[in-house]
Amino acid sequence: MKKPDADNSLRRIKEEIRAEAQVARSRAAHNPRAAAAPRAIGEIAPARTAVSIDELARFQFIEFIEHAYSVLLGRSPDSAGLTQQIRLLESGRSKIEILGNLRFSGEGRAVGVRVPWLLPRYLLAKAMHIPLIGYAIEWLVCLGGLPRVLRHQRAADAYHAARDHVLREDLAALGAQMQPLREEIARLDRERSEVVAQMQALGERFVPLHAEIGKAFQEVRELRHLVLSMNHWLASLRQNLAALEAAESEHLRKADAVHADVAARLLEFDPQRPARLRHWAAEFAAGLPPAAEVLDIGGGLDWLQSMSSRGLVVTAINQNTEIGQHIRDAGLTVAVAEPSVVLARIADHSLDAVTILDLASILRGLPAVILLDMMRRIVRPTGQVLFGMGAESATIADRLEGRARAQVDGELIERALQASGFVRIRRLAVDDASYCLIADQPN
Amino acid sequence: MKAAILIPVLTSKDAVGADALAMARILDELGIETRVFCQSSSGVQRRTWPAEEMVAFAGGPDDLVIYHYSTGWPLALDLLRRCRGLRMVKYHNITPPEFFQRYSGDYRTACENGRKELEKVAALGFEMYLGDSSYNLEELIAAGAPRERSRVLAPFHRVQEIVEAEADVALIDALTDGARNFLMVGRVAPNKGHLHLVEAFSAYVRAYAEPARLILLGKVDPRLHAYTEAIRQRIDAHGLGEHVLWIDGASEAQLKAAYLASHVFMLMSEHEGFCVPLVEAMALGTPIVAHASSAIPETLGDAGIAWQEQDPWLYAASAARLFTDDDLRSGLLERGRRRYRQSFSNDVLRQRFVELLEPVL
Repeated sequence: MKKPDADNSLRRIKEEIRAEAQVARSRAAHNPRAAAAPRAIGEIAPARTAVSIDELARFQFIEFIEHAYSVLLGRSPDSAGLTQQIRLLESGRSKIEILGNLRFSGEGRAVGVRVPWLLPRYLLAKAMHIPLIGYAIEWLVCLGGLPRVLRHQRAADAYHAARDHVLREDLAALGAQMQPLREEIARLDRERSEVVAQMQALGERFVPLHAEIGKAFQEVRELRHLVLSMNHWLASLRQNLAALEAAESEHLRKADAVHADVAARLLEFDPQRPARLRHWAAEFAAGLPPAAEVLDIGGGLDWLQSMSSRGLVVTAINQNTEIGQHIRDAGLTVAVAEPSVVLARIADHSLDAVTILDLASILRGLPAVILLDMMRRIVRPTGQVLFGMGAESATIADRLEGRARAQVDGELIERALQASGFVRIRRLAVDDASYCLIADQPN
Repeated sequence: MKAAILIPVLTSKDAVGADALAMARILDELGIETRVFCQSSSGVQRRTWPAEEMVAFAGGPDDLVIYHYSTGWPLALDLLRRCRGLRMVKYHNITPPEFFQRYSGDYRTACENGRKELEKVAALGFEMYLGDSSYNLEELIAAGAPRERSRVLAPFHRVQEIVEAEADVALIDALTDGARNFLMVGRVAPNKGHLHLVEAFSAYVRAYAEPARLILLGKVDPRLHAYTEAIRQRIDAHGLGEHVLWIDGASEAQLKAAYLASHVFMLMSEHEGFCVPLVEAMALGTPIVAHASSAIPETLGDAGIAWQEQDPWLYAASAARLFTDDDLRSGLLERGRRRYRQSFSNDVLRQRFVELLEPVL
């Protein structure tokens, strides 16, 4: 804590000084005599005390005035003073007069810069302004100064003669220096002419090239026209194809609607169907874990709902857009697509089960060997497959389109399942002799 | 980016001129093309340009203009209004006109005009307001300058040049004659308190009966002749004519000699915006006794003895104590040197200036 100590110390000292001041005051009252004066020191000269007229007059115009102010008054000129002195110079007054005006003004006298011989010359300059007498004085001064003027004139003549000689020599030297420069200019001129000639030759060689380039441009323009025409034709073709595809699509949609309607009407004539599907769904679900993921191919909405009601998570594939829409409307997941395409994209062992009620219609587009191989690939170990042997909407659609009803041999499918590696192959039959096959994927 | 320093009159020995030239030099060193614009200049080696050309040079949005405000100058306000870049004003303070009431009508008018511009300067919307001291800055803020854009930056000075200059040995010899030398440095102007100083010096001479000399070093202004005459009359009234040495227009060598040969730097000025001579005294090792007016306490800090009162006996007794108390004198000198080094050396001021400029560099 050095700082507070120092502050306290200074505060204490100031109190002591305050007391001492009182003592000093009373001491002085009793001692009116001042102390002895110190040793006298001569005048301390300011930085500059004397300056010659030549020194002041060697500057010109504003520089002269600023310098004179600086030296004689110790300051820069104020704007009024500067203007006034400039006006005097412009009206032909001598520098002596300007210097005298500044030096002998009140301010100049107070500053007191010594300028030897300024006063008489200043007075003489001022005297020349006295009417009549001033004119005479000016004449006398001029007359008196004539011998000096003549002397200056002779000196100037001698100087100019000497300078003339020097100038002539310099001019001759310049002329000598000019000669190589002229030669250099002539050489540059020649080179310029050669360059111009070369450029003209190049221009002539460019003429046929220009013609070739013109032809090429013409061909490019024609090619461009052809490409544009072809583009136009292709665009028209695409529009026609799109119209055909739209008509085809509409036709298929209508056909799907008819097929779905006919299939629904026919299936209504099968009174055993609801009980059969419930029974199959119950048996099938019993062999699967809760919330098992099941893929159905080509089944109707009633079959899908039977499985969903058993707690199975069902995804359907159906080729009929109308039936697909019904399934979607019922809140189930469905893909309207070719079964073989969808099956090919399903990951290995990603499903708990697959059901195909209308095996005959699937086998028409997909050989049994390939179908069973796909089943082995996509069904998880201990999962199940269910193949129905009855008629479903796809088969009905086939018949409507004039194709013969495909015949499925249950015995043969059982053997094929066995050969493919499925185990526990069992047949679920009902009273009307309809049945389905269920097989397990081995562990 | 270009930078312009705008100052009404540029002279090398003037404190404001020294500040402006130092700023220009620093900006040069930072690689910024810098010009000084003024109405007139004298004794300055650096080239200057007419003030009217400033806007054409540094009036753009990326340019910097620093205006040194120490007197009334309507043209400057007009020019500054037309600049679109960063504008700084450095306020060096203007002596209150009352000081000149008895001595010079011209000075009084000039100071009145200068002070009238204070509010206009504050309202001009400078991006930064600088003051030599908090004292100056508070005047600007009271006139309406925003406090959040106001900063203190002590003026650059020529103290280091004086420290390194050759002293006038003949003058030191002449002053070293056993007499106690009281030194006052500053132009002879009514705000500098010369009359109080003569009273204090007289008190010392009468109370302590020791040979003593009062050195009044500073430019004597012929336009303030009445004030100079009043000082002379006061000196004569106390019979101290032989005790007082006037040094007008001192060279650097004479100035340094005066500081070195003096036993006390006594400042009784009644108005200072900063007071560079205090910093000179700190750097050159002359103990200080001062009147604590205006910005003086802020500049002096703890490096001298300062009094609120103007009682001459206090100053006489302070000087007497300094002459006899070696511990006090050496302690004050040490604090002075430290204060100069830490707060007022040009290196410190340069760093502070560059920090203030950083947003535009």
